[in-house]
Amino acid sequence: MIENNIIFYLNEEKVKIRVKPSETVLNILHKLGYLGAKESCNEGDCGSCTIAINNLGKIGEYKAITSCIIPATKMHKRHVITIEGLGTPVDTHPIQQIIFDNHATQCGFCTPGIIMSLFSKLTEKKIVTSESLKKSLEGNLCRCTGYQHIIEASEEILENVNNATLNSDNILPSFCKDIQRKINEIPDKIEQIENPIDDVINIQSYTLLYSIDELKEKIQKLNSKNYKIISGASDLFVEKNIQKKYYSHYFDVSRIPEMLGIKLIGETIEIGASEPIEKIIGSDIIKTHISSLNKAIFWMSSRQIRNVATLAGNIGNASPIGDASSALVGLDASLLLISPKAERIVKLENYFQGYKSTILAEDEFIAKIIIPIQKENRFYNFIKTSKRKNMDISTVNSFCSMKVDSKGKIIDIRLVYGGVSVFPQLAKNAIAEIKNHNIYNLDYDRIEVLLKKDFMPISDVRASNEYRNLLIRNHLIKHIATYKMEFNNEK
Amino acid sequence: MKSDVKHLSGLLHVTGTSRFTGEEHLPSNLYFVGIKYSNIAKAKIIGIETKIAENIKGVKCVIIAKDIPGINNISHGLDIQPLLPENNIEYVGQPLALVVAENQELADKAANLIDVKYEELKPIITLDDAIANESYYDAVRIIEKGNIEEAFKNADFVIEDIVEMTSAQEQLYLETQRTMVIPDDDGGFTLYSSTQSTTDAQKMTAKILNLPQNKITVDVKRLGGAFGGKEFQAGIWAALAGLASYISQEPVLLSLDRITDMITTGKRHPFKINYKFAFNKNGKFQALKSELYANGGAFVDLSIAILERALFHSDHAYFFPNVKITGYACKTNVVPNTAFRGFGGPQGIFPTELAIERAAKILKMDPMEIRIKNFYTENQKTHYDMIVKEAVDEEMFNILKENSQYLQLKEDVKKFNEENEFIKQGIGIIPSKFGVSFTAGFLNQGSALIWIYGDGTISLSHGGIEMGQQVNLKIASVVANNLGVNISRIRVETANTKRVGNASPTAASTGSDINGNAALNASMKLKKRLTEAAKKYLKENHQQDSKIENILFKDEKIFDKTVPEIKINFAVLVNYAYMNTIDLGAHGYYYTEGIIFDRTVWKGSPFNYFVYGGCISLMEIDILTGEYQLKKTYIVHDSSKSLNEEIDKGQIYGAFVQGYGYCTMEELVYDEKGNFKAISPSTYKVPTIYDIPKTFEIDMIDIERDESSVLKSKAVGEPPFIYGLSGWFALYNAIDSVNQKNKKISLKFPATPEAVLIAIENLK
Repeated sequence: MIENNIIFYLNEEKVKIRVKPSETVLNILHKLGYLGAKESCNEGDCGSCTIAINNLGKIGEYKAITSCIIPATKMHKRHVITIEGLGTPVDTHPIQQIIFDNHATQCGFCTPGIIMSLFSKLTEKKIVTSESLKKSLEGNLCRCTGYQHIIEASEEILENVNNATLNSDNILPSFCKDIQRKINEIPDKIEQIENPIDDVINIQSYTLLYSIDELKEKIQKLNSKNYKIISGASDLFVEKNIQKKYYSHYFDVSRIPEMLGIKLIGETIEIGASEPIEKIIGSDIIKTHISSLNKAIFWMSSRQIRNVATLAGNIGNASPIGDASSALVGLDASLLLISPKAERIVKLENYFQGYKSTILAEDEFIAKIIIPIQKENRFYNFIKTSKRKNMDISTVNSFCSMKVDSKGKIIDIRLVYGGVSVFPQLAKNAIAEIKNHNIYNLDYDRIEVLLKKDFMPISDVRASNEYRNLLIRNHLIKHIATYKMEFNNEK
Repeated sequence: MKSDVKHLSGLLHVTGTSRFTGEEHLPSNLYFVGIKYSNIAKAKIIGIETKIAENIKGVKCVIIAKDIPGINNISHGLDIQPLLPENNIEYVGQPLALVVAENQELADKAANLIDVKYEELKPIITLDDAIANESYYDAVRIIEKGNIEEAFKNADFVIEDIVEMTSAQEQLYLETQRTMVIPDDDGGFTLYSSTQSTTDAQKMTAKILNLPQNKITVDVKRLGGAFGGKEFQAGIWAALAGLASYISQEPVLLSLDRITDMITTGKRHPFKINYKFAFNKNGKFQALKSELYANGGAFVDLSIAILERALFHSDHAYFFPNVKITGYACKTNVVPNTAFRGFGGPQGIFPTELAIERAAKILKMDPMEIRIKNFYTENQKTHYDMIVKEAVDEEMFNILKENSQYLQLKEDVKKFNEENEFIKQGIGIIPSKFGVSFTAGFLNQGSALIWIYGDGTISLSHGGIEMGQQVNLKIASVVANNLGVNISRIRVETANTKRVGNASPTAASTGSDINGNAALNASMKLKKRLTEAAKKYLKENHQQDSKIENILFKDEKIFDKTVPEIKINFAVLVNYAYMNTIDLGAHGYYYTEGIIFDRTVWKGSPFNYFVYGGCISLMEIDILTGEYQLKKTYIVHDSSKSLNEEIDKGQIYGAFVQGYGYCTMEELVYDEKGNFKAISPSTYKVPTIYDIPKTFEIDMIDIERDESSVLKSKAVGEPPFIYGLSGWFALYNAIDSVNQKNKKISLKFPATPEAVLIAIENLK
């Protein structure tokens, strides 16, 4: 096993520590005696372990993450702020004081996570609203308060932001000032130490990479095929924590500059495979040119997860139900796949092969997602149905894009469903029926028969096949109704 | 009582410096416990092979049933529940063996390598299975009054139905079950446990280890949530941890991961209810007949008490002249179900409220008016003959009507539904009349211990467990109020069996009532002694002759109200009392009088009082997907003289949202093999910040009631859980808005989006 000797800043303290490849940020915080971040679900679903980590490249900005599923090595050359860094009982941070004053803590177990989520939001230097504060708490479960006192506390925070009693001077702890400079002094490369003792967990190495060439070289050199390329690791470290599923080697691509960024190139947008989803949501390019993608990813998992998770991860794990995957198939996106020997571009539609299987070759990885921008006078819509509004996996999701002429004739339609088959798929039979029909005169009974030919959903813990079948039909009705509302066409 | 003091641990919580079980005082040689639990519902054990696990480096020992030195039975009675089974596996999740190892990962890994050989047997999983096999705990319970058959013959309308509340509900306390055990030098053990019941943990561990109770100390600082899940069942993990420490002779920490916790611990009981309900044209209820079946699981746990509370709440807030309620606690092969806020109350109440909702539709009556028409009036008797002395549900509903602008709201909803094709709204109404007390009468006792130190600071111990409900602040404020001092003088200590023995579980909403009264009792003893000291002090130092009854304790000062200019500082008086050899420690005790219930005839008064209230919720549904959003909730709550309004509001908000989750998204069912289909928060969904209504108003009615407890306050933990059920009825009525053919609505409980859409489909 190769352990990593990482260097990072924890609140105001410089920390150098040896971490195992399998260890998480939370494991290390607890080892160091920082117990404010709590372990509760160990899979990123409750937010009790939320901490803040500096947003790469942005000085003084921090993002909330669920530390229970983030590999510890990721802290290297980063600034981590925990609840202990904000204030003490005799010298509280304004957010801590407001939570206390509003009775927004009861048993206290979720409280540090709640505060860190709010704190991270406020460091963003964006306009804060009631809605955005609420959104920052979407990944934090509280079982005691019923959230109302937390909402009231956020209202007070908002008031203080608006009247500038909460401002950049007192939101960030004073130690943050010099830390960016100090971080820059830390070398990128990690000292790696061979440790022959592997007591329990069978992960041999965890490597932070800084270029595609370096990654190619690693892949080529490796004899073992038992490796994973990760960026956010928000899925694979859940697998590790819960199902105890391990791979021998992890290659972390989250710091490879060529795999980051969102670029508008002619009629397409290229999104780096390591670009976190939350950044895509915030991107003006995406808002302007592919707003329908935003609709699909806005309610994906939680803010803490989206701060690290990527579209490539959603595609890479080939979940039948990935919200982004359905939208991207609908948008006719392509992938740039790279292996040590070659590169190729494939349509996402052709990428999925079966249940959790894809055309990705063993030594290949996703480098970019290429999406044609939305066309004018074309309708785009995404619908997600889930048991719970937020932080839930879709029961069924669907994406619809349509071109309708002035008389209401549907000239072209792409209709994709997720959660109803082994991977997100076009409703081929239904599309053939709908095409060239008038949008005001669709034969839903006939379409329903064809949709049943297209998809034969199963029953699982989330829903019965009966419900999924109803949703397949009704999603189409909803898409059409949304079209009518948006385009406000007269019959 | 008004108080500016907030959560006593609040500043620790918000700064991440509060410590929970297993987070402090960890010895350097601490060992960790891994659990091997059953993945099969019923089997005969052939053998447990532990060699491979034992031989792993870093594993201290593996423990199975035969290692238990004491009596291998943790049941309260009625059955025998082994801590670890020797012969038979009875449910999925049953602990079978323990591993003690140097770290948690190792302990878990070793536990997985324990090989249990067994012969699978056919389990009983569902209530239908149990009913078919007549698999019941104890005798059937029947509460009866009037002549039920006659009433059904004479009534204008009789409806009957089967109500399936067959989903369990997980407590989902954010802090999982955990206990740390430190061996003492005299062969005893100290347990730091996340338990609602120090006594249960102490008794169970003593019995298992064959030690006298005084050799087991249980200490509890605070719980990261419990909601009933750590009442009886935390004792199991405490005893297992105690066993691990006893066998290994090492300090150990047993701390469950989330999935193990969800698989191995009991939930809210699934119920199945058959009801028959008679009413007249004028809307007056005539008769209620119900058979309630509770899925108790593989061991009886608290199932009998939970079933009884369901029976006691089947009438809910309404007077029925004729009643027959029959209850069965079913023995099955699922994890023993246990306490969860409401404790059977919700399962007793819901079917009756559903029947009323149906009756209102049949009679075309307003669902609020039909309820008001049938509320108990003062001094009527319940079906178990308890006199309802202060029946104030009508008063509550009248305020509720006004606060919610009910008539306008109804109009708005009607208009909204006419104007919107795919989005529909519905209103749900529910009252509350919740009985407070342990129905096991002897548990209604509390104790407290107060020391006033020489410097005038106060140490307060009481039998309650702090789990976020701020029982510590409430009780401290009772004492501070009594002694006329600031709360900051008082340190509330951990709950510890050495300072407060025989403590009842902090449960049944009684924490503040019984322990607050006990603390008041102790405080009054001290105050009496200090008053006498003050009289002497005034005489000695100010040549003043004061009458005892004129001496007041106020604002940190003690003085004669006839000579208010001469004041003694509290600390000065305390020191004076100490120097004059006055006892500055006092034990207080309290038991609730008048709780008398005769289980041979099922009549009596099992409760000290009722808590009343009402709730209206407005929900919006998407009839194409079944998804919904709660828009508005108005609650009116009878708090009598609240000990702390903000704490009580926090309890009401929290309970409402738990109740709302219970009847909507929190779906937890077993598969045919007895496994839960959802075993973690990724598939078991509880409400988030997006699920609460934008308008969320509580009106606490602050009127002193005779029926109340410490300083005229009323309990608040469980009663508001019932308000959450308004969400289900709002969905029911929203669905009814598209019920053109006037069919019977078959909406499942819980009403998940799937259940809503299927109910809508079934109306076509």
